[in-house]
Parts: sequence; structure tokens; C-alpha cells
Amino acid sequence: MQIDREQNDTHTVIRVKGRLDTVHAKTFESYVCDTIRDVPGALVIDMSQVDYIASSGLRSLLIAGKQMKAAQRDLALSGLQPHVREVFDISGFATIFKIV
Amino acid sequence: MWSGSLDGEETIGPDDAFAAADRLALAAELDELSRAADWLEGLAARDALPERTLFKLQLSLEEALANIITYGVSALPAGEARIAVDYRQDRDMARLRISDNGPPFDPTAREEVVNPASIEEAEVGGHGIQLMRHLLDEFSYCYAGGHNRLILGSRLVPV
Repeated sequence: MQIDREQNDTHTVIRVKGRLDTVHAKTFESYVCDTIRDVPGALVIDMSQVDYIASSGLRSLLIAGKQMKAAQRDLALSGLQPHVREVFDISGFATIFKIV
Repeated sequence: MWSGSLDGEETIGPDDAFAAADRLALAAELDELSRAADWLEGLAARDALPERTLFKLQLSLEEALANIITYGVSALPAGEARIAVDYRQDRDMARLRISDNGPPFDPTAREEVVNPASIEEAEVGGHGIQLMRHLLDEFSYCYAGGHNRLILGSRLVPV
């Protein structure tokens, strides 16, 4: 899994590439939580290069989502691939997250 | 590699659906999930499994093994955990059977989680079994010979 971020005027984009599985979810979660702590404003997680997500990846996204909600900041997920979308639909994450 | 008790304690008769299965033995560590995923990918390529079948089995295998490694065999003294996965493809179904010697735990008996209405209400965790139940065509469990046996099956042709 590769992960980086780009800050622009209105928001920060976190780009993830690879599998959001049990082995990688903690690394992803730490990176996102560090970004929430260090960078103000809205956040977009670009998932267009994530082809697989397990419940551990959902868990990390939910922790980030809860932190952003508590801080009244905007979080959106973009570029959901078909398998990821299916997992979001089953788990109800497609309804509770803002997906662009 | 162990060659151990799962084989030894098991009576494999001619009716055992997994008698001639491909088998992978795993250590009780989460790092092993990558090896299990690669193993299944290799078998899927060999048997030309449909991509959707591989996706469903791979995700379900990861969810089941993560639960077993984190909550199941972790109760055992160090070095006593035994986990094995068997793979078998029949005419219309590809099946995995996961065997472990942790305390009896039946994931198929867990109540369905209710999806939350908002991020604030959502509880962290609990989606692994939900995903397996929705994605699989067969999700069955038994406890036999001191081992949990979980079967994950996906049809090769969608119905």
C-alpha cells in the first residue's frame, strides 16, 4: 500500500494505492489520523487506486469519519472501485459517508 | 510447517468433500493473511475461477482468519495454535474449509448487524461476518474433533 497527500487552498487530498486489508489498515489509519491532527480543513480520501477493502479498512475509515464529525470538518471519499463499492453497500458505509 | 493434529485427529472417509483438497497451514499471526491471499490467488489462476468468485472467497477468507487469529486461537498457549485452510472446487462451487483448534466459535450464528443511520451512531467493528454472510453462497460451521470447521463457498456461475 502506498499513501500520500496533497494540500490545496480548500482541502487536503489523501491518495491511497493498493489494498486496504487487515495487514495495511493500521498504517492507513495512522496516516489519516495524523493528517487530521496536523492539517486543518476539509479532507478527501481518493480511493480510485484501492481495489480491495476488508472490514479492517472500514474500521479505519469509520475512526477517521468519527474524528472529522466531532471536529465538524468535512470528509469525503472519492473514486470507489466496484469491489470497494460493493463492500460499502453491504456494510451501509455508502449511506453514512459522503461519497463523491 | 506442521503436519499435525488436524490431519491426525480427522477421520477422512470417501465422502469427505475435502479429502483431496489443496491445503495451507498457517501460523497464528496476522502477517499470514497475505500468504493466504496469495495462495488462493494461485489456486484461482490454476483453476480459472471467475474473478468475482475469487473476490468473494478472498475477502471472506481474510475476515474469517483475522477473527480466528485475533480472538480464537489467541486463547491458546504459545505454539499450540493450529490453523489450516483446505480448498476444493466442485462442478458448480469453489469451497474453502478453515479448521482451527481455538475455543468453539460459530460465526454463522452471530446476529445480523443493523447498519447505522449516521457516522456518530456507527459502532466500530462487526462488519466481517456481515460481509461473509452477504457475499457467500455457503457459510456453514461445525465443531468436530476439537476443531472449529468453517466452510466458505461461492458458486462458479451466478444464479
